[in-house]
Order: sequence, then C-alpha cells, then structure tokens
Amino acid sequence: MHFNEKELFGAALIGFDMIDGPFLKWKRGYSESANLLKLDDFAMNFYLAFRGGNAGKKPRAILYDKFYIVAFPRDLELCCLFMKPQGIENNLKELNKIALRIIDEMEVNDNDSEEDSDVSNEDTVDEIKRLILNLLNGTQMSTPELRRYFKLSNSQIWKVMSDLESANKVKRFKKKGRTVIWTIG
Amino acid sequence: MISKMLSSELHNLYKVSIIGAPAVGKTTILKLLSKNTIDRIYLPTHGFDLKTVKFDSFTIKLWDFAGQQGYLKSCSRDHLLGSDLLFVVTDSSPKNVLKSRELINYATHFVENNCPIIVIANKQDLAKNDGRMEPKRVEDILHVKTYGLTAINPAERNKLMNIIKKELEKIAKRRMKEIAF
Repeated sequence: MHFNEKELFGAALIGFDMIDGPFLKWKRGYSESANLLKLDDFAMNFYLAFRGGNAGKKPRAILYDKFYIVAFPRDLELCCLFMKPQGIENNLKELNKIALRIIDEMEVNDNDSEEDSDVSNEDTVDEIKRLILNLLNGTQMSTPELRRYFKLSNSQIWKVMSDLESANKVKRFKKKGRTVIWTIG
Repeated sequence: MISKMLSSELHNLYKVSIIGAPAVGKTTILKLLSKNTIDRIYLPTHGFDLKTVKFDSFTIKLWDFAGQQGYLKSCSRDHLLGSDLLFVVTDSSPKNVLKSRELINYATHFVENNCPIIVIANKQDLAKNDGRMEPKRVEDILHVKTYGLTAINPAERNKLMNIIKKELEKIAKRRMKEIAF
C-alpha cells in the first residue's frame, strides 16, 4: 500500500464539550477540495460516526462517496484527516458485487428459517403498524425490506400488511418480480 | 474582555433535549426550529443529532435523541445530564401517550429537579377518528405541561419558539437569582 500525501485535502480537530457535545475546534484546508463539505455542519456527525456508542470497536476510517476520513482520537478530541481516494472505483464495483451476492444469500436463508419472533403482544403489533405507516409515508418499501426492519417472519409481515391493506392504510404500489412494493393507502 | 464575552455567551446558552418514542416527530421538531426543509420521509435518528439555534438573546443547543430503546438506554441516559429544558414528544395517540408517561418517569432520574419537562402533543393534524388526543387530555393523563403541535407545518415554528422562549425566560430569571445569591 502506497501512502500519497497529495490525497490529503483537509484536516479538522473536533472537540467535545460535556454540555454542548462535539464542536469544530480547528480546521485547515490544503486544496480547493476542502470546500467539498461544510465542516461546521458535519462535525457532530463525524464525531458520532467515529465515537458513537459507549462500548465496542470504533472505526479508524470511513469512506464516503467522494472522500474518506481517517480519524485519530486523543482523549475526548478527534483529529480528522480528509482524503480524496484515488483509483478505488474498480475495487468498489467488485465489492458491491460481493455485497449484493451476500444480501441475496441472506434473503434465501431468511425465507428458509420461519422461526416466529415474539410479536404476539397486541401492543407490539400496533407499534409495528404505526411505524410501518411512518416508514411508508412519501416512499415505497418492499415486503422483505419491512420484514427485515422488524425482524418478522414471512407469515408475520404478511399478516401485518394484510391488516393494514384491509384498513385501507397501505396499498400495493407495484410488483418487482415476486416482491410486492408497498406505499401509503 | 474576551472572558466577559465568553461568560455572557455561556450565560445565554441553554441545553434543550428532545426525547420520545420512535417516529413521533422529534427530528421534525428539530428541523422546524432550525428552519430546515421538512420532508415526509421517516429516517430514524441514530444516536442523537445536535443543532444550534439562536433567537433573541438565547443560544440553544438542541439534542435530538433517537427513540429506539437500545439508543435510549445506551446513549441518552448520559447525554440527558445538564439539560436546561426537556421536551417529551408524543404523537398524541393514546398508546403513545401512555408510553410517554414511562419515558417521563425514566428521564426524571437523569435531569436536575429544576429542569422543566414539557410534553409536545405532536401530529395534531391527524383526524380524531385515528385516536388523536387533544393536548388538554394528554396533560390530564401525564400531569405535565402539554402543548399541541403539528411539526410538519412550518407555520407552527413561531408557536414552538414562543413555548421555548417562555420556558427559557423562566430559567434565565432563575440563573440571575442564583448568580445574585
């Protein structure tokens, strides 16, 4: 692996205030690409992305669409280095193919295991229905997507969607292969 | 001079936290206050979001916490500390209002006794047939000052600002007294 310092287009230090939370303490742009993002707006998101959660492993680098960030924590502060990736498009394409393959395999496995999770509670079902209506507001989602969101089996999600459909709260937007895409009724 | 400026800024700085069950409109309230475009697509907040809003002499740091239980237990507990004002948002449906009662009980352990807790009975645009409760009814159940709101309506921004302003003015007076003391 080669290190190319020219990939570095900016740096920032994100501090953390116990009352206010993360804030942009210092920034420096090394090239015009530094204007790629408004750091003041994103300081919080970067901090959360690298240090979110109380325990567990934290990322060292995150790749975004047009840049990547490598971050080094020091106490509560986080030093972010902004880099422009070069020549990784092909790698990303290949990795995307692998990811799609994994998603497909998982789908088949999910369909095979029809273990019902505990959604017998009426309150839970009502809460799921309420959240589905919020999720579908202004957009469309497929049955498998909704099933994964709520960790339901095929029969459970179909029971929920049928109830909502009967109450005219959702409707079938279109079919993609054998998959039904839902939207608000 | 600088320390004087800093102390005056800190004096007018307030931490306002927003909690509530998933999909009740917490982030929409944050967007309403920060004049961001309100879209109708629900994307759950992960962890929390922070925005700074300035109006009159107040600088408000708004903490919008994710509604998911996992986040609430792992994240909001620590971050609720130091709140000057706590909003508990409900979508005004009977079940959600009852859940809010649990949430208020939970949150009271992590905020100071003098931190006002205000309930926002959101989604007042929904039909009564859908079970939407009036703010007064919500207040009777929760025993907490409750205001009705339709956060997806940008015209309601002033209403929300006035609610916050009213509460912050009380806190500012209290702070003045504490300083004088």
